[in-house]
Amino acid sequence: MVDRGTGHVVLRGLTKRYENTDPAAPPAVDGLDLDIRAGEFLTLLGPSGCGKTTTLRMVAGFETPNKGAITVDDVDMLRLPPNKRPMAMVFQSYALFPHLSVFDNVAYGLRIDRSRRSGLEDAVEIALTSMNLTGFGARYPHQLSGGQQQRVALARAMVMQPSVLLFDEPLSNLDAKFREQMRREIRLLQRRMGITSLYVTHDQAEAMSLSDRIVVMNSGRIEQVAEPSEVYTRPASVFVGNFIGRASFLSTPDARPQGGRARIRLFDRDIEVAAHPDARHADTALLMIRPESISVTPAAESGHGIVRSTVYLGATVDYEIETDHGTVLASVNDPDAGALLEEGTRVRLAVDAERTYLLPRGADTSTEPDLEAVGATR
Amino acid sequence: MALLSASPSQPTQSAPMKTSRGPAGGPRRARANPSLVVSVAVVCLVLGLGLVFPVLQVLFTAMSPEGLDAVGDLVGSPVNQQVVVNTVVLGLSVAAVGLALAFLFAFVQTRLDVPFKRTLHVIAIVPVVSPPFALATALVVLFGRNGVISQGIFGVPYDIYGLDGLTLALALSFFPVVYLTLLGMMQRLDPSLDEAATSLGAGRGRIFRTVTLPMLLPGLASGFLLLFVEAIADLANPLVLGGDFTVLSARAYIAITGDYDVVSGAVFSLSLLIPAILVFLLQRYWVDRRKVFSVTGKPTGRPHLSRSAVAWVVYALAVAVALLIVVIYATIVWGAFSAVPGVNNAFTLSHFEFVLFGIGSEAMIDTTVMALVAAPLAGLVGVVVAYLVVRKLPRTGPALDFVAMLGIAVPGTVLGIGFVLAYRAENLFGGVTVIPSLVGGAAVLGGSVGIVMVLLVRSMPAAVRAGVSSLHQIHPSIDEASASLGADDATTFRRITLPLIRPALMAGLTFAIARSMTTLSPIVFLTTPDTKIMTSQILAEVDGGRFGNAFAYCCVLMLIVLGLIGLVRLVVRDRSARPAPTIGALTTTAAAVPPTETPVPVGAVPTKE
Ligand SMILES: Nc1ncnc2c1ncn2[C@@H]1O[C@H](COP(=O)(O)OP(=O)(O)OP(=O)(O)O)[C@@H](O)[C@H]1O
Ligand SMILES: [Mg+2]
Repeated sequence: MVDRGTGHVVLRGLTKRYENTDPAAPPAVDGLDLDIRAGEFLTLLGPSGCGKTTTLRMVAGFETPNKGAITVDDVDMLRLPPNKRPMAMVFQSYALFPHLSVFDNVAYGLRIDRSRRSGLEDAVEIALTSMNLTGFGARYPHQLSGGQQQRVALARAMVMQPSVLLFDEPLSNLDAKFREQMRREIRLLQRRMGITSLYVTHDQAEAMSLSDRIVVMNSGRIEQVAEPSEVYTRPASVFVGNFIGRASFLSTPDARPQGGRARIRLFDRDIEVAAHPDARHADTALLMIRPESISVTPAAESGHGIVRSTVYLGATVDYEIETDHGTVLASVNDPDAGALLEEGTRVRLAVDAERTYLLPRGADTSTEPDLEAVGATR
Repeated sequence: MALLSASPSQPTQSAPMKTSRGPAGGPRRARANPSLVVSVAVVCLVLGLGLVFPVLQVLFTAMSPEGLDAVGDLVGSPVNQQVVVNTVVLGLSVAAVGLALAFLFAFVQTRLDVPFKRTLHVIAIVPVVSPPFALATALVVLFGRNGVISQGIFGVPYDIYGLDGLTLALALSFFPVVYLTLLGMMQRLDPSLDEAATSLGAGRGRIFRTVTLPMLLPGLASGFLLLFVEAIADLANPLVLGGDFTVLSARAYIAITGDYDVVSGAVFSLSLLIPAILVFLLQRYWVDRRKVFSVTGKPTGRPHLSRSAVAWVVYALAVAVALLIVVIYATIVWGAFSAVPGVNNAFTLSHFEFVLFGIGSEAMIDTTVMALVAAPLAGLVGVVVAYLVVRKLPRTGPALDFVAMLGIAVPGTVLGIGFVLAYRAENLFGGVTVIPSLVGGAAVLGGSVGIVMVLLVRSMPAAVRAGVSSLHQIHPSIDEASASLGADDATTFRRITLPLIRPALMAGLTFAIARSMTTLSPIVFLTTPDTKIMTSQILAEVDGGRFGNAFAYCCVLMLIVLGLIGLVRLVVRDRSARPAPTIGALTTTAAAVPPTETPVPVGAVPTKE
């Protein structure tokens, strides 16, 4: 990553309550603190309605926060209108100007900034080339495919060389295959240009593959800010563990957490697992098990559980298994299609202790997953 | 990557440096930007001076001691009570007949399988461009005491003056706009609803009664209200066709121009203002609310077109009305070339000589120039109002929209009298002339400033409506994208918004031209010997019984209007020679600007051919 040394974004206590909303309800964004390092690719991830777009639009200047501060490189952004902020935004709907050609769309921002009018043609051409849009300059947005339109939108934002790039679900209108390709291109481009990027999505695969760090949000607050691998393996809460990837949460009343570790007796074995610092009492803790870190073998008699459902997906097969600790989801890689376990089969289970994590239940019951449904739905 | 390395001269610091130029202040300050303040100020000034102040003057005058005397007179005198009753009766009968005509033509277009539908459509919208007096005068020639048809063909001494003639003239003048609205609604009705009703066992008549009519009810209601208001506010037709049947607008006109009694004029016109505003409020807060629910989204399938015996009867009725319209317009043209239309039918060019080279030429030029000044201003201010309402003033917007739309809701007579009251004398403030006299003999520029103001206020509402409806179809993220690329509000408006709503702007402009050229009731109070306006010249000719001259005026006026509209379209087509953004049915971005549906605001001119 090129460190341009600019684009250090700081959000402090950012709060937004929309007018005409129930004053008793929590604000759309509730006291957000965030440090985005210069050149970093940061993703806001969370369920629908958690305040991602609102946060992004406050940074862009399209919404005014009720409280809090936004600075970029120590310059207060809140006193600047959107057009004076050193940022460019890529919209979910692309928001291309339909009456301007592709070239004029990309040149639009450069023409407004007098100091950049010289060399405008070259800059636009280069931007178009870098987006594989050579030769499209004379076309109009309605003559492009959705993917091409999105490239134009990207080129239009990038050509401004802003300190900060803002993306609001820019890929959600594309089909799955193309989305993956665009994901790679955005990542590559951002790495090379080193522009600080704030990216909103509710697609975890997008967040995992693009981000330097992920911010997981839930009803206006931050649940966790961490690198993708940490968010997956060491979620800060049951909510995060549940939201990112799939997981089963088992109650383990005999757990004895101590100093970040915990000893648990699970499926006839004593294991030692990592524990969240707040997971101090067994009866308020849950053990998170990812479906791929549990192995399933058919048992002649007894065993640890009974297969309740079998879902064959080609590359994997998902088993929902009923155990004494609750329902567990197990996912087996590269299954033999001829030898799937039938529903009702008794099985023995073994978990990879290193891949499980003991979490506090969390005070807010509303964010707690429905334990029965967790394994089945996610 | 190449994007960066290719322009190394670009200092990476440039962006943050940009930030240091911002104004100081708290978060709120980001909202207050100069172009917004200026445009709000200009709009308020235009509406305040051109609409609110004059109308308030009418109110104040009516509330003054003399005014209250006149009010007592109005309420107490049986003659005046009859005038009020006449006005209401006229409004109701025009509304009923006009609505029936509009529905008849819309029904034929959408539900019948009959020939010459296209021709019928064109004939039905012809009256929109007709100047005031044209219809009424032609009716007098055809059906008056010495009518070419009544006396000449049937030999009956029929007297068209009065309620019957007025109803016919007004209904024919104003039904086209309602027809266009209904036509749009009926075309958007989803035929699958009919199919659903049929599959549930309902017959044609029953479907019409229980499915179609209820869905059209809001459209019918608003058409009725519109016709009612237009009918009671109209001045030209009662002056020509009224006879002994006096209505409020004519009474107010006579009070001012005949008796020089401005106070009574104000009181009479005020009693027009009250029902007009009530209807406006009803329309805005009751009928419009219902519209949303009654028309389903995208129509699917094709409606069943009827060819039954009943259909042919309905068709015959429509054809008869269409023939009447054709005869009336033929009379106008023929009358313009006849020595004394209906009496001495010798061919002559003297009427056109009079209009084109005599006194009329002055009026022709004055009228056209003033329309050409007022119409673009009305279009521009209207679009700015629309922009403010939709995009910039989420809270005060509706109020602004309301005031702007009053420009059309306030009867012309009221506005005209208001201008007389407000601007005949200079407006002094602390001994200093703030606004010089704009009306009457001593007015600046021969009163043309006042006239242009009235035209501006009168034609702006259509531009506002057109602008609002097309702005609602542009996704706000288009504006935000522009801001995010560094454009301030004024730049965004100029480079993005204006080009995108140009079709709507043109529709508004076309309407404004037609309206400015043909409007009479406010203008007739404002003309001075220095400023001649064609419509008030026509009034003088009709008054003097010189119908030939009046018809020639009407012909010339219609030609000018059509010519100007054609010119506007030509210019527009030329400028958009490059691929127009006719996106409509594409992807999400496309949703930004679907083709603008022709808005039909109150009293609008159709923009489709
Ligand atoms: N203009 C508005 N007025 C009132 N409430 C709003 C407005 N915009 C958003 N909200 C509310 O604020 C909350 C956060 O909305 P926001 O758009 O930020 O969610 P999001 O995280 O972007 O969701 P999604 O993933 O669905 O886009 C929601 O509860 C939403 O209903
Ligand atoms: Mg969102």
